[in-house]
Parts: sequence; C-alpha cells; structure tokens
Amino acid sequence: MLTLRYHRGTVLSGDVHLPHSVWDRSLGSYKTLGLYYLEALDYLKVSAIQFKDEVMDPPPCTFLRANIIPRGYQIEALDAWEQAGRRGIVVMPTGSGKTHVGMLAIEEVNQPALIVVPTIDLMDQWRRRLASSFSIDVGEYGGGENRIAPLTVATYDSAYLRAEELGNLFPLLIFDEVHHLPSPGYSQIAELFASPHRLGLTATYEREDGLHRELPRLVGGKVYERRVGEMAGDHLAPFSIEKVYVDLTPEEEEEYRRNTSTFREYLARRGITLRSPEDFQRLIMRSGRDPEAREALLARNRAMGIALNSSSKIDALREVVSDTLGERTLIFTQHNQLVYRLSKEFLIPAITHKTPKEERAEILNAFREGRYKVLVTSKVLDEGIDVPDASLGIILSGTGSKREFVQRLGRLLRKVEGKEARLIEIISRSTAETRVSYRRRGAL
Amino acid sequence: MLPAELLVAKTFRGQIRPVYVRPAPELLELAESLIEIYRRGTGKKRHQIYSELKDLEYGPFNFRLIRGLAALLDRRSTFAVDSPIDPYQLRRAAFSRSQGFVLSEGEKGRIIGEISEELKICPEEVEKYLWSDLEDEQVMSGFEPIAAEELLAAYNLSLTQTLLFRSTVLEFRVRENWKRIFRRIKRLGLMYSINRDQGGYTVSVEGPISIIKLTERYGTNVAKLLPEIVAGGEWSVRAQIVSRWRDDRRLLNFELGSSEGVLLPMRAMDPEALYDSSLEEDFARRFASLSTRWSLLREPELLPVGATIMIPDFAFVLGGKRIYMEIVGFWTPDYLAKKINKLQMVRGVEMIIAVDESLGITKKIPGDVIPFEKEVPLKPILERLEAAEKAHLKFEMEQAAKLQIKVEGECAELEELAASSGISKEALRRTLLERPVAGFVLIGDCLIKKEKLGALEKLIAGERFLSALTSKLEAEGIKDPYPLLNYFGYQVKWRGLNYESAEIVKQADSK
Repeated sequence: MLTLRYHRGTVLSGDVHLPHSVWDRSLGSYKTLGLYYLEALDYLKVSAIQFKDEVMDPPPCTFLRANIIPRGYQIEALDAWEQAGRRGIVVMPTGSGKTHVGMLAIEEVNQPALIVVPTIDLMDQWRRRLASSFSIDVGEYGGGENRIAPLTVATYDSAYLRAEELGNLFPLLIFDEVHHLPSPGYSQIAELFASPHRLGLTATYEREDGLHRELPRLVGGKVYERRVGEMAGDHLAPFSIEKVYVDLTPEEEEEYRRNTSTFREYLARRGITLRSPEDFQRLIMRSGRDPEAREALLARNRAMGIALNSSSKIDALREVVSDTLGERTLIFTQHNQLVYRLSKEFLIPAITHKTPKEERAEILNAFREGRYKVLVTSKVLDEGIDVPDASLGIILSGTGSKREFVQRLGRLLRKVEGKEARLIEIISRSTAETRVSYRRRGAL
Repeated sequence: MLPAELLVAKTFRGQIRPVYVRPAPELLELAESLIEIYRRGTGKKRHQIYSELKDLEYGPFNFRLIRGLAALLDRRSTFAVDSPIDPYQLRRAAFSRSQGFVLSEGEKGRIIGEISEELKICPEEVEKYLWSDLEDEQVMSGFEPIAAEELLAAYNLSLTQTLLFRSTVLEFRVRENWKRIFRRIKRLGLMYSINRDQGGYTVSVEGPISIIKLTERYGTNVAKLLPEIVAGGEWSVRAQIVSRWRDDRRLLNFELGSSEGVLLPMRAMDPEALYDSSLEEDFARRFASLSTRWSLLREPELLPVGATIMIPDFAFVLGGKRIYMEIVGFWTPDYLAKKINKLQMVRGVEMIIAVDESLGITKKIPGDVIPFEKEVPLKPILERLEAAEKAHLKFEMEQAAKLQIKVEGECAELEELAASSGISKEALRRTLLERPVAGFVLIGDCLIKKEKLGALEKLIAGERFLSALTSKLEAEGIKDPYPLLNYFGYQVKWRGLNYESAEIVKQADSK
C-alpha cells in the first residue's frame, strides 16, 4: 500500500503520481512540495486510493487552552478562517489584537503550532504572550536558541533555513506580518512546510511589488478584513492627520533644482518614462552597467535627501514640539543619519535598528513611564515592536509606502479613554516629497 | 562571498560569466592602493576610511569592483569604539535630563554643563561622544595585511561564489582532493550523484527540491564548495544560474575550468573547510608508528550504498584484503541518523566502526563497533586485524592448495607468483612449506630449482664482497641474497658502515 512520507520539504508518494508531483530518480519516488500535502490527501481520497499517511510527525502536546478574553471582531475573524477551511489571512490594523486571533486559532486547532515572525523582538513578544496565555513552555528558533516545543516561535530567516527539517512538525502554521512571506526566499517556508492549517496576520495585505497575489496559494486568501477607518473610535482611538509645509532654504533650493534637472535630463535623453515602481527598479538595474544612469540616480537621491532632510524641517519640528510639549510624541524619519542629528540637536532619545536590545527596552520603558516625552526613530518601529502608547506622531520624512504609513499611524491608535491621536507630516513644499506624501495617504 | 549587488558579470547567449580580474599592472596597483588605505586606516573612523574608498570610485574602474575588493579587506579589519566614556551612559545622562526634548539652546547648554561636571569630561565632548559607538563612528583597531595578487585571487573566488549563490545545479569534475569535497557536500546537506571516470570524478550536486522548483535555495551551500574544488590541481565546474531579468526568470550556464588560468586562491581559504577531523589525523599518526603488515589508506575508494555512496574514513590493506574503518566522532543528531542509516545499508564489505561513547548511540550502530573515549584505541583494532589476517591466510592457503603452481625457469620470486595468482605472498609461502613444488626448494622468498643449487654455491664461494655477489644473484633472478647465504652457511661481515666493503665469510661451525 502507498505510504505518504515527508522528506526534506517534500511529500513522497512512491509510484503514485499526485498533482504537482515530479519523479525523483535518486529517491525512486514521486515527490511534491509540502505545500500540496492537503491537496494530495484530497486527491487520494477522491480517487479512492488506499494509503497510509506518515507525513506529519508533531511533538506530543498537552491540551491547549488560551487564557484570554477575545473581542467580538476577533471571534468573527476566527469564524471566517474556520469557514475557509482553516486557511487564509486576517487583515486588521496594528493595535487591534492580531495576536489574540492567532491564539484563538491555536486553541481551535489544538495541535502543535509554529508562529513565524519577522523580527527577534516580535519573537520575544509572541513567546511571552503564548507562555502566559497557555501556561506552557514555548520553543524558539532564531536569535541564537533553537528549541522545539509544541508551540514554537521562529523568525522568517530561521524558518526559511530550517524549513526542511521543521516542515512536518506543526499542523498549524501562523505567519505574523504575512506580507513578508511572498518574497522569493521566504515563500519557500510556505512551500516546504506540510502544515495543513495556515493563518496569516497583517495590517497591510498589499505589497508595492504586487507579490501579494501569491498569498492565496501559499497561505489562503483574505478571509477577514477590518480597516483603520472602520475601527477608529470604536476599537481604536479617533485620529486626525495634519500637514505642515516648509520651504527649502535658498541653498537647498538651488542644490535641489540642480540635482533634479540632472536626473530629468538623463531620462529625457534616453527617452525613459517612470510610471510604476517596476520602471524605477529597472532603472536601478540599468545603473549597474550604465555609469550615466548611475550618476542620474545618485543625483535624484541627493535631491530627495535634500527635500527629506531640509534644515527648515528642523525648525518646523522645534515649533511643533513647543506647541505640543507634554504630549507623548513619536518622531519618524526615513534615514538613521537624521535620527542621530536630531538626537544630538535636541537631546532626543533615539531608536534605530542598530540600537542594542537592552538600550531599546530601557528607552521604551522610560517612554512608557513618561520619563521621556519624545522619541525619534527611523523605520525600526514601523512594525512589530510593542511601542508604548503615544498620542502625537510627527513624520519628518518617509517613503511613499502605504504600509509604512499605516504602521506608523497604528503606533498612535491604541484606544485609551478620551484620547484623540494626531499625526503631523512635515513636508518640503514644491518638491517631489509632496507626491510621496500623497501616495502613502492612499492607504486610508 | 560578496553582497549580490557587487557581482560584476556578463551574459552572452545564455552564458554568464563574472568579469574576472587579471593580475595586470593597473589592477595590482588598484589593489595595492586599497590595501594601503586599510593599512593606514588604523586609528581612523570607519566613515573616514569609507570616504577615502569613495574617492577611488571616481577613477576608471567599475565602482562595484572597488567595493568588492573593499568588502574583502573590511573582513580583515577590526573596529572598536573610541571614547573615554561609555556612550550609553552619556546618553542616559542626557536624555533623562532633557526628558526627551530640549526647546532652547540655553536649556541644552545647561544640561551639557551638568553632564560634563557629573562625568568629568569637557562640555564639547558630550555631543562628540554621544553616539560614538555607532558603526560609522568606530575606529579601526587592526588590519591583517594581504598581498595585492592574493587579494585579486580572493576577489575572483568571491565573485564566482556570489554568482553561484543563484545556482540551482552544480556539476564539477575533479581529480584530486575529492574526499574533502565529498565530506563538505555531505555536511552541507546537498544531494549528489557521482560518476567515476579516468581517475577523476564528475559530480553533480543539487538541493532536495531543486528538481521540483527552480530555486536558489541551495546556492549558498553550493557556493561553499567552490574553494575546495578550485584548490585542487585539475578541475572544472558547470552550473546553472537563475537570473532575474525584469520579470523573467531564466537559466544561464556558467562554466569554468582550471585550464583557463583564472587567478584563484590555490588553497582553500575558508577555515571551516579545513575540518578534517583531528581524531582521524591522530589515529593515522599513531597507526603509522605500529609494526604491522597492514597498511593504512586514508582515502580509500567510494563504496556504493543503496542509491548513494559512502566514503569510509580509512581502509586497512593487506594483500587483496581490505577492511574499512569509519570513525564516528562528534556530529549533529541529524547527521548521525543518516550515518547509521547508511551503515545499515553497507553490504558485502568488512567495516570497523569506532564510535565516540559520549554520543550515546553505540548500541544503535549496526556491525562491528569499537567504542572509544577521546581517542580511537589501537589494541582492539590490531586484534581484529590479526584475527582477520589469520582467517584470511587460512582462506588463501585453501585457495593456494587448489592451485597448480608452475615455475618457469630456474628461480621464481614468491612476490611475482603471488601477484599472478592473486594470493598473498605469506599464504603462498606457508603453502609451499607444507606442500613443496617437486624439484624446487624454497629459500627465503624465492623458489629455486634443486639442480641450480650447486652452481649457486660455487658462485657464492667465488665472491668476497657482498655488493658484487648481490648484483650477480640479481642477474640470476634472486633479489635477496641473505636467505641464500644463510642456507649455505655464510655470514656477512661489515667493516664499518660501508656497503661496498662488506664481506662474505663462511661460518666456522657449519657443515
């Protein structure tokens, strides 16, 4: 009789040809990716082929009971996922308790689960919350320690590296911040794991590069969605967005014009038009071979740098903070360089991706307790890290990414009685930055 | 290996090839000037060194070449924080006073004054060292120099590895050094198939899902094989590289061989690659000091095991007899499971398996297991070899008894007879002692026709010096004169250590 077996990210089916399977000569068997395990089971049942199933080999697991009180919409989200055959993605804004939805799913499936997260911080966070909600020891993969337990948290990197050996241990696979998954590398986690049940969690389903169209195949489609707008006031704090325009200084202005025209002239000379992020990507690739393209790109980056880091913004920042002093404020920039400059200028505590864990924890703690009123950060707080509640956000510079914008906004929206969140964008007038700001606000 | 964006390669009609550097004067000069920047870099901040490198980018060379070379030099340098005070402590002092934001210059000045007093540093130093632990602010503390040509060779290797990052399948041919390569393949968890031909091996390696999916997943592992492959004499590699051009994913071919003379490091530079277990090293050394008729082979041939192959660590060889030995030292559980599985499949060969007791798997291993702590013991191995020798001898003597030994001419060395009959010399000698060949006497390792003995005795009696006699006997087909001298009652008398003056003397008490 046919026995289905797991072998390093693949399901072996002997001489039975399954959907998506290919013949492996050296193994003497058909094999297919772990991703298609569930499909293989269906196929064999429908075709009335007798078989033994030895694919999954989960570690022994106690009964899992989560000690949490879910909100109504979290239960709705779980129901939708159940309905979809325990596959699919739940989209909810930051601060609305995605972790709870994950824990409800674990309780529902009641079998070993692997939670895949993008950062070490998120890993620590999930591990702590799982340990306290389920009162069990939680395993981890990545960040130095590799230990398997019925509930294990892994980073995308280590899940990718260890997919072949971990792929048949966890019947439930949860991807936190699932928009990371569809990159060419990480998507192999979903392909090599045989886990039949899959849940994706994110605040921002869409990717700029369009790769989110891969998600239904890898995890399942979008089964539940709540947008920031829908939830503001109800479950999230109400908010407003303001814009403050500043003028470049005359020197910056001149520098800006010179660099933009270098870039534009190059495009005109080569007859290139840029309509999409892909067009731009192509230009970057071209710059590898074409020194002129490279020079043009460098000029464009310099121009953007001038707009993003204008010293007028620093004056504007001083004014905004003077007006609102006492409010818990997060300042966002695009580049680390500006973070350190502001930190020196105003003695603001700063966090970047280079900040050691211990120092970061201390700063966040002081911010939580109100000893620090203001914090400046580059992209690092965009997702994942449990940032204490803030009511004012100032975007000094950023990209046009909708995800980045939603995540920055999400930092301010945790609901506290009587709170009204404000997000202030400081933008250089008459520069390309106005378009950047317009693009990201499309998220709302 | 280099970051992907520093790869410089050219594609042409489905072929891809890195742009290799030659040791031409202008390139050696470039390498030299980069090395010089690093050599003079001690005491400078990282961003200062980087800006000096940046200046070179305005020259005639591809900026990616310069950054690639610099990346290799960066790995040979160390950087450290240069600050009289812990910057972290400084920040704490500053931020706790500012509470997150200072609104005026006056307030900032007051805070800085306070800090400088508390921490006993100048006011200017507060801002200066506030972030001095940042990577860019760190100061070079050491650099391990390298010759310009060596740097170019390392660069070419790195370029190739970077290209192989994106490979799906790698096929290579080597004549030497293959054992280390195979071990590395095994350790990297790659799948492989092997063909042996004309003294070399053609090997193709891939990852477990390569045949299902076009994937670069195993590229890093494949790339790690390269330093070993190119370090050994004659070699060639062929790989398929996944290229991402626009939205297309295409497969390009890459080929390179030792005959092309691309400048590459002659020895494997990756220290991880030089892992040939010291257990084995140690065992080989101790075994060599023993007096045994078995010889030890460190790179025996491959054994077919099921669908794959196995390379035992050693073979003990005596005549036509081979006993393999595998040392199972410290390995990962996964590797051990595979090893046990493999050993279970080994059929039709004799194998001794020495297992480190601390692994706790001694019982799981099938076959003839010798447990050991710290070092592989020689005694049980010698016992087995002696037993095997006896058993083998017995077996061979049985075989020899069935043989019809025919001697052509008047003398025959056992060695030649053994070689032509496929039986060991020792077995043949014992057989001949028990059942002599009619008309022949066995003297030493030589069969001599009885009628010839008289002539030989006369020949010996007529010679005074050993050296002259030896060459005369050799002409008769007798290699070793001593057994014959002994047979006729002669002795060799040495005068000093000079072979030419050694004389032959008739023993007084002989017949």
